[in-house]
Parts: sequence; structure tokens; C-alpha cells
Amino acid sequence: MSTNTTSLEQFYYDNKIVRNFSIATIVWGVVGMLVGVIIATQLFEPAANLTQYGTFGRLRPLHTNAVIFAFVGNAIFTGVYYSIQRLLKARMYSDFLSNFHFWAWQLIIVAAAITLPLGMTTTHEYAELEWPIDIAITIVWLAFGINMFGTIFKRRERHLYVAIWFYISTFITVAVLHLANSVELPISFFKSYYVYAGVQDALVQWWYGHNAVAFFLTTPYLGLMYYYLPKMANRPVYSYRLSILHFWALIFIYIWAGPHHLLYSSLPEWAQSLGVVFSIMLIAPSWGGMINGLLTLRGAWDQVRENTILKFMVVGITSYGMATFEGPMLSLRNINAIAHFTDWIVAHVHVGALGWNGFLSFAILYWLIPRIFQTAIYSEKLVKTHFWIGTIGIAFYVIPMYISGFTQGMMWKQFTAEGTLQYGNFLDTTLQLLPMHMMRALGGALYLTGAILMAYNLFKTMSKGSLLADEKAEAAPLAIIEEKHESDGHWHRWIEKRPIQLLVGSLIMILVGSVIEIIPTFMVKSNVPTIESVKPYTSLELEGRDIYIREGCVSCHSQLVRPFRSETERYGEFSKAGEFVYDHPFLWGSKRTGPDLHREGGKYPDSWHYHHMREPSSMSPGSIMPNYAWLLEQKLNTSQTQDKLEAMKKLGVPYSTQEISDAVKDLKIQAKTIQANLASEKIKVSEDKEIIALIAYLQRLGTDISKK
Amino acid sequence: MFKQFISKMPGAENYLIFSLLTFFTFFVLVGLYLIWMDKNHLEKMASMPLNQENSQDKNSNQ
Repeated sequence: MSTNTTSLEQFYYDNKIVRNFSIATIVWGVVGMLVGVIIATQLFEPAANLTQYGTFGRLRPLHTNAVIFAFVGNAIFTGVYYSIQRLLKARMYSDFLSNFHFWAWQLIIVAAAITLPLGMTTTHEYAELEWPIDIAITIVWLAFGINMFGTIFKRRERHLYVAIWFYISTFITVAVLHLANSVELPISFFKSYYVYAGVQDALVQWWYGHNAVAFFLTTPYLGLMYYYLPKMANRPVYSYRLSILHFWALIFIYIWAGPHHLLYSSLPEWAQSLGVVFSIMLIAPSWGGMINGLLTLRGAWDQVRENTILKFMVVGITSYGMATFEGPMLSLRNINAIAHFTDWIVAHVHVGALGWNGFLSFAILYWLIPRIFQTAIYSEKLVKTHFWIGTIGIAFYVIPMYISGFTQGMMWKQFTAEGTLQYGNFLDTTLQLLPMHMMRALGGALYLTGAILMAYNLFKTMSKGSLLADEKAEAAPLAIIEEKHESDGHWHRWIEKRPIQLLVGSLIMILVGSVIEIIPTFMVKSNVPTIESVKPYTSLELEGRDIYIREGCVSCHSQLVRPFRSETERYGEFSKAGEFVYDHPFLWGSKRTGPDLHREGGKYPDSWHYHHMREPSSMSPGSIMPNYAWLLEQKLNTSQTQDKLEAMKKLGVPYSTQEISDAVKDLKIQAKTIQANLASEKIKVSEDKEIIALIAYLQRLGTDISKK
Repeated sequence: MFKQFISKMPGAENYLIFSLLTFFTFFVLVGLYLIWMDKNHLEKMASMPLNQENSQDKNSNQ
């Protein structure tokens, strides 16, 4: 068809939805970072743990969820909703779906902010929200997908720019990850147990955890980088070829690397090794993205000197390069042996979070808001101040954390000439790190200050401009363009203009790695040697375990003794896969702010635990653990005990019918024994308090294998 | 450590070989894909974010 017969269609880009997501990004960003500063303070000042709803254990998941899903999530949607309309030359498919997506996502965040401090958690990191919220997330994510694909189908641009490839792979992979890691059996409206147990649960969780970083914090941001960096620098991306190569390589390789979170655990060694090999290979596609980003600015570095938005981008992309080099290094066994469970991992994560996600989000907001509000930024000076205060904040955050992590890892492993542990008391290592934790909190506070300056600056910009809610544009309809592609014979174009093929291709890429790594979890089950002496928890211990879950003890205490002499000397026998077969969910943890607890059972008398929970520093002078005095006052709720045992039975835990029907009766008998133990040490407490259940659980931990 | 699982894992080598082959095949395909791409098309794709303001020109100049 001849081009001169082409009739242009007029349409309007929806900027209102972009504005809404921008505001949510700013507000939740400040909230999430504020919670971060609070929990950073709690790690050197236990008095900052206010009430049972504000302890580190309960606030830490609130921080991670707020910054990942509220701040970064809304930033992704801001960037995607703006760019996808323009790249496809079409308004979003449905205004209703856009608004539904926006409001429902904010409601989910509010639900998280309420339920997590209340102790309603599944404990799976970055997936702590309970099952009704999981269902809501699924629905909202689907709405986002329908809206995105609806827009793609009605587009006026035949080819899909690489940014959209990244958005599509993000959509499909996050959906798969979320579904697979949310298979729970509900007990009540806000309590459930994962269907997987022990080693299997750990592998599914870290397959999710690792790939949530990949497909929520990385791929959408690479898509955003490929759209916004050329716009900001007014030059095309350095190499489109490289962008395609690293897209396919990244989504293919990333999914395999999950097991590097489980080195030296009960996972089969070959699966661990596969995780390490793919982690090392990840450097190539990750650096492909970084190099492509930085080289886009070749010949434009004079702009970087003048343009603060580009400065944010450069620091962000460089942080991405640093974090993606460090990640594979951390997956090497010898480095992992030192770094795992320490602040090193916290440093690593924050190079990515503060540098890559944070700075790219800030840059996009600074670029975008003046445009949709048809005005200039309120204060260029404040943008510059934000950049410098943010950069200094990152340095103050991560450098002390690297020092802290390395110090911690080395101190745990230090032996004296006589062959005993140099720092046998775990607390000695914790106290050594307090100055580093103070500096980290300062770094976080600086970064937060920068974000507050940005919020002020952007809200001022919004108030001085006026929102161009519906931005007029025009383009030829796709049907007309479609008829003129006779020269496009290459098969790659076949995929570039067909979103469904891209979706299916991405799905296959991620499923290959997933299937090969998930299958072993089922194989492991048949290979885990049954340890005959390992029995299910008693009803009282199970209730105690749920208190342990509610209080977020897993945020600071691992339950996985690795097979190192330094660990077996400190904690006892290393952990065996067969010991976790009844653990729904697994509670291995990922950080040791306090000592490992897998061999805690029988180490101290009941009275020690009672005093320790009431006031930790009374038993461990200088301890930074908060007081859990409410456990001594609150009555244990046994109304669901029987249901919990029944649910566990459905999941394969061999409780007898008798055990289930007598659950509460047995619980009371065991509680009376503990009460009597405490009474013999002059502690008066009634047997129906929560502390009794928690003591029962702690005293059971890791003791089964030593039973004859 | 945990050698008992590895030794009892049936067909562990097959998993490794399959993984390697998948990886190798995949990269050969992507390599060919990139070699066959023509430069004009790449340039057009790369400049896509910059050309939105005059989208009608871009479409009509195919």
C-alpha cells in the first residue's frame, strides 16, 4: 500500500496514571526507607524496639516489602505506564484496568503494612504476606498483564522495542515465581502453612528469592534503562545487538543461579555446583547491560557533568555493575563460607537497592514529572543536593557493612592456638560490630534525607505546573503498516513484532532452568535418609514454633549449622536434611545477628529461656536482642491447635487421629511440666502463657538426632 | 558433606550434560540471530525511543 494513503489516527496518552504511580513511589519510598532507618537503629539500640508490634523481627519484613513492592513496584509501574504507551503509540488498553491496578496495588501495600507488624507472616523472605494477600497480588498482577498485552495488541508500532521485551519477561516470570512460592494450606484467614517442607521449601523459596531480585529488581529496570537513558541523553542505545544478546542470556541464565543461596546446606552438591557455575556465567549478561548503558553516554560525558539526572543514571548503572560482579563472587564457596549469614550480604543487597533501583527511580521521576506537568523542575539545586547526599549515604551505608560482614565472618571462624574458638561467646562478635551499625544507620538516614528533599522538590514541581492528563498524539494504525513489510524476511523480526511469541519464548527460557532445578527437590525427598528418631512436633511445640514465626525470630537467627569445624564447635552437630522433614515452613534464615538456634534444645535450662525472653541482657549482658516481656503475659491461643495438627497431617506429617483429637489436652500436660520446671527455680508463671510454648519449641530444637 | 544424597541421586550426570547442551544450543541460536540482523534495522530499532514525537513520519517512511 502506498504511504500517502495512510490516514493518521489521533489518540491520547494517559498521564494521570503515570502521575498516580509517581506519587505512590515517592510516598512509599520515604516510608520504606524510614522503616529501614528505624530497624538499622534497633540493631545498636534495643530500646528502639517499641511495643510488640515494632520489634526488629516484625519490622524487617515490613521494610523489605515496602521498599521492594511499594517503592520499587510503584516506580516500575510509573516507568512502564509512561514508556509503553509511547513505544507502542497507543493509550493503555483500559483506563479501568489502569486504575484498578493502581488502587488495588496500594491496598495490598496497606494490608502488608497492617499484617506484618501484627505478626501475620509466612516467613518466606520477600513473600511474607499471608494467603489472602497472595491471591490479591495474583489478581492485580493479572490485571497489569492484561492491560499491558491489551495495549500491545492495539499498538501502532509494528516492532517491539527491547524495553518491552524486558517488561514482558518480567510479567510472566514474576507470575510463575509468585504462584510457585505461594502454595499454602490455610488454617484461618491469616494463617497458613507452606505445602513444601524443609529442604524442598528452602529450594523453592530461594529459587523465588533469587529470581525476584532478577525479575522484579533487575529486568524491569533494564527495560526502563533502555527507554529512559536514550531519552535523557538524547542518543540511541550504544548497541541494540548487545541489548538483545544480554536480554536472552540474562533471562536464561538468571533462573539457574538460585541454589547459590543454599551452599553448604542439605541440597545435593551437584545442584549447588550448578548454581555456582551459572552464577559466574551471569557476569557476562549483567555486564552486557551495564556496558551498554554506560557506553550509550559515550561522547556525551560533558552532558553528565551538567545534568544531574544523568549523574543519577551513571551512579545507578555503575552500582548495578558492582552488585552483579559481587553476586557471582559471593557464590564462590570459599567466599560464601565467610560472607553468608553476615552483613556482607546486606551490603551487597544495598549496593543494588540504593544505587541501582533507588537512583534509577529518582532519575526517572526527576525526568518525567516536569514533562507531564509541563513545567521545569522546582529547584535544580535541590536535585544536585539530593544526588550528593544520596551518593554519600550509599557510601556510609555499604562501606561499614562490608567491614562489618568481613569482621563478623572472620571472627566466627577464629580459633586460638590451642584449637578452641577465639570468640566462643557469639555476643563478642555482635558487640564488635556496633560502631559499624551506627555508621550504617547514619548512611541510611542521609539517603532518606535525600529522598525527602526529592519528595518536597517534586511536589512543589507538581503544584507549580499543571498535569497534562491526556497527551495528544497521532500515528498510523498498525494494519496499514503491516502491509508494507515484504522486505522483512528475517526470522528474528518474526519474534520482534509478536508479543505472544516473546511471552512464550521468555517462559520457555525460564522454565528450562526452573524445571531442572526444581526436580531435584522432589528427588531429594526420596533421597533424604529418614532419621528414625526425628518425630513431629508436639502440639505445644508447634504452637511455640508459630510464636517463633510470628515474632520474626528468623530475621536474626538461623537454624542451619553448616559443616564447618568453626560451626560444629560453636553449635554442635551439623544440620541434616532429614531433620527438617516436618518443618512447614523451613526456618533456616539468611542472617545471623544472633547465634544459630538449630542445636538450641537442651543447651540451657527452661529458666534461662524465661529470663532471657523477659530481658535478654539479664542473661547475656550487652545483648541487642529486644525484650519479649509480652510473651510472659499473653495467654496462648489454643483455639486452632487441633486445626493446625490436622493441616500438618494433610501435608504429610504423621500425626495420629488420637494425637489430633487430644491436641489441646496433650498441650496442657506438657505445659504443666515446663511450669513445674520453672517453679522449681522459683519462677511463678501460669501454664497457659505463650512463653511456655516458646520454651517447649526452643528446647526441642535439634534434639531429635541425639535421641536413642 | 551430605555425600549420601549425591551418591544416591540417580542420573546426576545426565542433568549436568543436559544443562550444558541446552545452554550451548541456546547460545548458538542467539549468536546466529545476531549475526543475521541487518544494520539498518538495528539502527531503526535503537532510535525508536527518540522518534516518538514524529511518529507519523516514522510509520509512513517504511
